[in-house]
Amino acid sequence: MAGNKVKDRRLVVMAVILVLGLVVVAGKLALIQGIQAEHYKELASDQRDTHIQITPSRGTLFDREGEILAISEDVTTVYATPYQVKNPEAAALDIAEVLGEDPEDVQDKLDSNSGFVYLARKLDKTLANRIKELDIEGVGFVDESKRFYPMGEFASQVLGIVDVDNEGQAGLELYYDDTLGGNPGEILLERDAVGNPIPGSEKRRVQAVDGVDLQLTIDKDIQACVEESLSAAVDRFGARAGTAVVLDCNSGEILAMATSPSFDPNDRSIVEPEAMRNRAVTDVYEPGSVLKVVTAAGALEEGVVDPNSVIQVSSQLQVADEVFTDAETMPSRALEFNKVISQSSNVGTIQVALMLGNNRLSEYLDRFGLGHLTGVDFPGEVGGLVPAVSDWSGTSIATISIGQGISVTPLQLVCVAGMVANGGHRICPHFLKAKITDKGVEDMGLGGIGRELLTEETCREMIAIMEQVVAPGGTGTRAAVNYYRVAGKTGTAAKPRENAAGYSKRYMASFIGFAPAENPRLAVVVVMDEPSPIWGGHTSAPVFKEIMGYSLQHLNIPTSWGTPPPG
Amino acid sequence: MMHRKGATDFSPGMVREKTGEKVLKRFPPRALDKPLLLCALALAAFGTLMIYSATRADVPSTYYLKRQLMFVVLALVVMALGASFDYRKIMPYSKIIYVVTLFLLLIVFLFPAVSGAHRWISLGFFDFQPSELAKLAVILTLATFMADRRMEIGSNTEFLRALGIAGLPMVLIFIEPDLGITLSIFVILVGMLLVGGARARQMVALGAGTLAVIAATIQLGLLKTYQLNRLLVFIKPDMDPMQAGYNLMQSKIAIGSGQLVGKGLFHGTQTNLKFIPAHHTDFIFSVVGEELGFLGAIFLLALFAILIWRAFKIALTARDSFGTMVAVGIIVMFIFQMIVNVGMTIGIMPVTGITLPFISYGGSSLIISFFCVGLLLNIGIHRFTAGS
Repeated sequence: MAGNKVKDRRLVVMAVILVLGLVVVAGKLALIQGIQAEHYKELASDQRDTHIQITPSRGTLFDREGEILAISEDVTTVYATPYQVKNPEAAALDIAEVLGEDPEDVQDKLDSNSGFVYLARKLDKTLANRIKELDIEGVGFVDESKRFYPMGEFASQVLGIVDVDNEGQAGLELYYDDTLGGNPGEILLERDAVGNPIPGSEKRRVQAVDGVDLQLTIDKDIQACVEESLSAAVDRFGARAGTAVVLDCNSGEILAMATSPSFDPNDRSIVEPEAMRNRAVTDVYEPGSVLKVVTAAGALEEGVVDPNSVIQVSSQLQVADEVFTDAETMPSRALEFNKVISQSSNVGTIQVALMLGNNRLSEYLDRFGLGHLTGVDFPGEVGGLVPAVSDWSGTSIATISIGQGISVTPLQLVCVAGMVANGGHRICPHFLKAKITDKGVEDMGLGGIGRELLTEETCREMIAIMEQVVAPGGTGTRAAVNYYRVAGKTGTAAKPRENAAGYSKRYMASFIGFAPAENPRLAVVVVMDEPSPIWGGHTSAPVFKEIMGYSLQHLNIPTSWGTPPPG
Repeated sequence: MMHRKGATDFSPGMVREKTGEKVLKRFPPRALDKPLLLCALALAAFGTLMIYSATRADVPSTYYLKRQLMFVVLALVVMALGASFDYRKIMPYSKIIYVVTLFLLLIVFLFPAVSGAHRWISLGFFDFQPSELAKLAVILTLATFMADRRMEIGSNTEFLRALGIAGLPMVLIFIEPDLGITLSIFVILVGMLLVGGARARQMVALGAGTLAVIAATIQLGLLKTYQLNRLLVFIKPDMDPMQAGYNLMQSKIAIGSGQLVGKGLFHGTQTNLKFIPAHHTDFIFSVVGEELGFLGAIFLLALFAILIWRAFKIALTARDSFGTMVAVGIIVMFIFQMIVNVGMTIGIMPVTGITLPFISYGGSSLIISFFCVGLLLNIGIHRFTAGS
């Protein structure tokens, strides 16, 4: 049977080929289930496990009197495990009715090829309960919290915002996110299709740790007054924007900080990004004459002049290749130093600055903290732009001494005023007053003032000069407050052209000041962006007056002349 | 010829000496290949269990279980039938079986397409799949054809006729479309031609011709987009993991995460969570790999290996060419489907929609498989029966 032998041989060859095939299959199995098993196991649990984050209750923000500024409301997030929903069409119809959504959108979610979909995030409790009552298999609920700002637009740029995951996105919500946010919890859902837990890998639930409540230095009444005054002034003077800060000059506590226009953090659909900027901290500008406070304080401290030194103020003054005049060209005249400042003479100030010299002027810019961060507890602070003295041109000393060619934030300016007011001590402005935990109120000890950078004598002299600004004959008479002695300084500065050298015809109007002059408590800065009229003494000074007048009375600060405040 | 261990009473040599005396006409009990039978039964039980595990999340949870049990009973009856007569009596009927099969393959086109394919004839209680029958019909017809010619298919005419026998149903099944079974029949053809005495140059020509046909098929756009995608994905699995590569990736995840001992019967998570499509039919092996691990998978492969080994013995000891060729066809069919199906779930074969014999859910496949086992037992039983 020769044919059979051939057949047998071929059968054996075939058998060998088939065995090889089996070996390859078994080898590949060993590879997948042995060597690469961990990899596939990971992929499997990625697919099977459903993590649901439980957002912890976010800490409440209080003002200094315990008023609630931002709070977390209990809400419910509704989710679905699509393959467990028996009748997606009917379920979608019912759920959509409660949510007020298109049933098709809901059904798309329920038909999706995934183990988890959100149906509604942070839904009002009553609506969530209506969905609960529908009792649809495969639909689940997680209690969450949602940020609410009871006072709407109030201090919105300061407080900031959170995102849908309750994470701080801006302002103090961002700066203190770790403290306010707490630790999120987690539910790990792991089950087979029938819903049975899988042995050896139980469901896991990590409890959320709620965030810590924070008490801020903000005084809601002063803040409200600042916002009203600013908003009215922005309207009245047709300004693009206005910014003001009220600072306790002896502790650095920020009692109010506002920018107009603002926004409502509860309704973010209509927020302009522009309105979210906390300009007092994050925006710099060329301050103009308010900076003469720094030049004057330096000159007094260094003994270059004293308040009564007579300066022969020329009509115009050439420094290097530039000619300087006063705001309104005046004939050459003899002026006491205090009048140079109170009448805000550019030429007189520059003459004094030239006597002080580049190095010493630069030194005092530095002492007043210009070009440096104040250290405020707020995200995105900028330090301004102060050229290094080695980079100064021939005209720099002239321009900088009157507040041009240098940029600062309103917050830095209020600190300059506060430093003169508190006797020459550096100020660290701050918002956080205390942490409120289960153990009680923990004062954060951020109060107090820093080391002395000016002598008390210089400060006394400066206060006297700055009182002159507000007194008849000064540039800031509109800042005068009834019953209180006020010291201040006006500033009106042309804005640098955008994308070009030189200055535009648009102006920033400023006023910095403090009161009561005999025992200063509060320092205030008001900055108006492109008001009309342009003058700081006309636009910012009246706002300062309103804010300062209200704040002094609100804090029950004794009047300067013993006369009780009205009311 | 090999000697059956322990069969000292009547060695094949003895039988041949006594040809014509019909010494052992009726079933000698020791001739029944018990390992083969036990393996087939074990595989069916294994498969039924896995189908239940894969489908118990469906509603009602025992729907597939009950149907598969019913199919198993039916299949056992068919197996007994397949073993109950002298297999050589089939030879005169092979032509009729072949023609009827072709007729049924045409009938499917009268039935509405399911998922875009005309594969089934609806019988009410279950849908019969003639293409499964076609595999058997081709085996029987080719075996008869080759036996009639006493393995003389070395001639080109006979070789081409053999191609024609397999080619006609292949074309019809390809049109249904069912690429998997088309390929199965082709491989059965190749296996039977190889063992049946085809010459090397004929096989080379067949290989070249096949390549030309494949090229033409793709060129003429006869392959459906999904079929082409599956083949492309096989070459580059990361190409499109969420679409065509999805099945393969999910299957590998399920099997890989089963590790050595698996997650336990009924505790597969990937399969139950419906990550794996067709987890009770084409991808049933993924369930095995996930729930029973490497050991379970190897156990399953071992059952197949024993079954194939017994089938080889039967092919080698068959008393005539017809028996050998039928056994060879069945062996090739089983092992091709097994390697392609298992290979597909672990990424060494393209996804072609070939079922795992005995294990995948489905009446047609199970009944035909058991009929084949019946035929193998039949050939084994009658190896000592005197030839006519």
